[in-house]
Order: sequence, then C-alpha cells, then structure tokens
Amino acid sequence: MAAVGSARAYPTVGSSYANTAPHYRRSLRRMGLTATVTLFATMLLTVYLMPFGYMVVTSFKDRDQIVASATGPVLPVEPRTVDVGGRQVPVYRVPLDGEVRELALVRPGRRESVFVDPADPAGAEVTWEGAWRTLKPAYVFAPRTGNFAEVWRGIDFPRLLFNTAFIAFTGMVGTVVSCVMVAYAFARFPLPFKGALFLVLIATIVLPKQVLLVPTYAFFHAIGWTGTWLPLIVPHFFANAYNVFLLRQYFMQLPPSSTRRR
Amino acid sequence: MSTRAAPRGARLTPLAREQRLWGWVFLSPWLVGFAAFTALPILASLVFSFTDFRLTDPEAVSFVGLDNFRRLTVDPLVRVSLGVTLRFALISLPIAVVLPVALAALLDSRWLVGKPLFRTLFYMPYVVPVVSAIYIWQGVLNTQSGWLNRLLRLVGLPGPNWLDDVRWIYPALVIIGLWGLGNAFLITLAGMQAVPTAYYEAARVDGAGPLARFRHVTLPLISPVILYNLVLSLIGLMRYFEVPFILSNGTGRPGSSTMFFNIHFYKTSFVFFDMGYGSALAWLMFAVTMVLTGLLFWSARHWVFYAGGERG
Repeated sequence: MAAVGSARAYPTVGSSYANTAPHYRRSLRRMGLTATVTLFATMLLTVYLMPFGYMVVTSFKDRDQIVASATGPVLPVEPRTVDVGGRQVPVYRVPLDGEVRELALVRPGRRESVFVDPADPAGAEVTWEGAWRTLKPAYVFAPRTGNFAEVWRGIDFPRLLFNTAFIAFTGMVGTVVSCVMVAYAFARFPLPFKGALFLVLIATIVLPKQVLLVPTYAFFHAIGWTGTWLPLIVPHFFANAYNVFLLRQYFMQLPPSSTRRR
Repeated sequence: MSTRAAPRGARLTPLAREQRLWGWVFLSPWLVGFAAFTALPILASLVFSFTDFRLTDPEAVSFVGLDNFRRLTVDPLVRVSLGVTLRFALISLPIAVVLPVALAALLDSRWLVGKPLFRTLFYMPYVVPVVSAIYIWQGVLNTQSGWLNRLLRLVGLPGPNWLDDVRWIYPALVIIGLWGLGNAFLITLAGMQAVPTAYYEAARVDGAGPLARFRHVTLPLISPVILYNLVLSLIGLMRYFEVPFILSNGTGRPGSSTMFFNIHFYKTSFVFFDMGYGSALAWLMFAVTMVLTGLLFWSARHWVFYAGGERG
C-alpha cells in the first residue's frame, strides 16, 4: 500500500521519469499469488481424484491383467511377443553393453540364452550370458474394452436410467418443497414447543436406519405399497431432517429484516 | 419480534395468532411424515427391545422385560465397539470440521482461476455410490499395487500396509472418508458466499488483513454451518458402518480396530437375527448420540453466531 502511495507522489502523466515499478510489482505479486494458489489447488485435486484414474485404468483391464498388475506396470499391458519363424516367442528386456534392449528369446538356456532383434527376426542372433528367468518381460499397451460390453449386455441400462431419473426428479421436487416449508417454520414462526420439536427432528437423524427397516417394511406392506414405487417417492414429500436442519441454519443466518413483514 | 415473548395463556394479538396458524401449516408435512414413517417404526422397535423377537422365528415372541438392557452391561463387545468408535472419533471429527472450511476457503479464494471447474471436480467423488467408492479405494490403498503406495515409493517413502495394520487402519478410513467431504464443503462454501460483502469492506476499512477478516468475519458468520457439519459428522460416526463393513466384512479386522458400534448392532440384528437385543443396542446408540448432540447444541450457545438474532 505504501508503494502505491509513493507512486502517486511522482508526476506520472507526460513525464519521462514516471515511476511505474510499484504498479508492475503489484500486478506481478497478484500473478504470483494466482499462480501459486491455482497450482496448489491443481496438485490437491490430482491426488484427490487419483482413485478415478485407478478406476478408469482398471476398467480397461481383463482379469489376467489385473492379477499381473499386482507386481507389474500400472497401465493395461500384455507381455510382448513376436513371430520368429512361425512361432510366437516372448520379448525380454536384456541388459547388453550398458544399455537395455528389448530382444526376442528364441533359445532359452540355464547359463546363456539366444535372442534375436524383434524388428529383424531373421537377422543376427545375440547370445546373452545369465539366467533368462531373471529378465523382466517387455510389455505393450493393450487396453481391453470387454468390461464395457459386459456391463451393457448384463443390465438394461436405459431402463435403469429412466427409473433412477424418474424417482430422483419426483423425489427432488418433493424434498425441496416440503423441506423449505418446514425449515422456514422452524426458523421464523413463533410456535409453542418449537425447540422440543426441533430436537425431535434432529433425533430422527440419529436413529439408525436399520432399526426402522423391519417395522417400516411391515407398515408399507400393511397399506399395500410393497411392490410399487410409492415407498420410494411419497416419503420425500414429508420433509427430511437433514435438509430441514440445513435450510433452517441458512434461514437463521439471514438477517430477519430481509423477510420481515413491511 | 415482540410476539415471541408473549407468555403462554396470554391473549394473542391477531398477528401472532395468524403467524402461529401458518407456522403449523408450514410444519405439517414433517409432522404427518414423522408420525407415519418414523414414530410408528420407532415405537415398534421400542417394543422389540423388551422381547426376544428373532427374525428367523417371528411367531414365537415373548416379553423378557429388561433382559436385553441388562445384557448391554455384560456384553464385552459393547465396551469394545464404543471404545473403537470413540477412538476413531478423536481422529476423524477434527478433520471433518476443519477440512471442509479449509477447502471452501481455497475454492472461494479470489486468487483461484477456474473456480467453477475446481468446485465441480472436488464435489464429484461425493456422487460416486459409497460401495463402489470403497472398492476403488481398496484397490488404491493396496500395499503392493495400490497407486498411493506407488506414489509414496516414487518419493522414496515406504508405503504402509494401510488396511491390515492396526496403526494405519484409522488413517486409511479417514482417507477413504475424504471422498464424502463433498457435501460438507459445498454447504460451507454456500455459507461463505452468503456473507454480505459489506462486512468485509467494513473490516478492511478498519485495517483487518486477510487472516483477520477470515477469523473475525467469515468464521463467526459461517458458524451455524460449522455446527451443522459437526453435528452430522458426530451422528455419522455413531452410525459409521459401510466402510469398515465392506473392508473387513464385519470381522473387525485388523485386530478388533474396526469393530464399530453399528457393526456390532448390525451383526446382532441381521446376522444372528436377534432383533430383540439388536433393538436394545440401537436404543443405547440412540441415547449416547442424543447426549453428545445435546452437549454440542448446549456448547453452541457460546460459539455459534446467528445473524438472524436467535440463539440455540
């Protein structure tokens, strides 16, 4: 702030000595802060969403690849093989003369093995001394889409989506309308026993759902609603404690002057 | 609002009577729903707790008086599971309160570029169904192939055995719980945005820096939302179930560190079908949570600020 003040002390218009440094320093500082905060948020987000990456990568693996990835690479891969004289032979990563080359194993041996260059299977053979079983296999990227086909065939996805969307939409309408009404009553209307009723409302959050499971089922069965969508839809129209509590907190956060009767 | 102070039995003004009528009308959806969908089942479960009702043999029910409640005092798993729940609460409750505020402050920062995108992406995991999220995390936390340990190995740290080590299971549960943060941070963010900008300007004029503005303007004004997060986290902890149940299949492994109270309740009621004793356990859980929630609301008088003027 002091820097800005000193900038104004200089004649800035029409002067060749105008000192613009404080202005630039300020916008530099602003850019630096923006970059730092955004970079920090990006790093945080990357770690936070890492499981999504795991999910996507795993969805492109078949069963064998999932087992193999316990010790192998992260991406969906398969061991690389190459056709040498009409037969598929595995490719290994072979350390030769200080560099690692991917070579096709044509004649495995206990002490030394014979390899060829996969790009030129008929070319010169390379002999490598050492136990070939200690070598790491070479991999090629091989995503499998079978899981997606299996999901699509296994379930009637459009139908399920319609069911979900319909119940979600009607439930949403019911929840919003009823919860706003009830929360407003709790936040603003002078009612007797309001405090006690609110405690009862909070108490219903505490109740373990499992306790109510059997009696609730018996109740719906008694009024003939089992086997219909009604138990999934109708209760939403009678408010729920979570959203009433939340909305009540917001209503009480607002100054009453904004809603008071004029 | 002078009408609120009117003593009971005193003559109400027409305005107060009208307000009271509309109050009940507005409240009626919950009153009706509560009676039908909650009060009835609660009564049923209260009755169960005094019987030896078993799901496998629903015809043979007899009243056993207070036997189920007496059993609560001698059942060693009650003590174990309450202890487990309390120990985990000490780790996870502070995180459940602080993290949403920190994340909301970050996503409300004027130095952040692309706020809508960040907000959407940080909320996204909350939309994933709990069960699939747990399976995903189980893969990510795998000691050998899990991405988290691969990441730790990249920076030269030894990856712990997250899910099978008594010392690491609670941090692992907290990490898995991070994906449930979406709702808490979203409502905290909404609370922050509802703070009138005039307050910040006034504070700035008075010479308050960014930290002082956060401490003396933002925090008091979002304290109702913090109370909401705190109460729901506490209640959620008392009924913490899905994550430990899926990870250890209800065995409480490793050790008995994941034998949470709700798992003990679930196994009693739906594995051993002992609904009578299960109902007694549920009522114990209910009582403990009500006492703790009551304490929170009582303490709220000292630290929650309602701009609407009312306390409590």
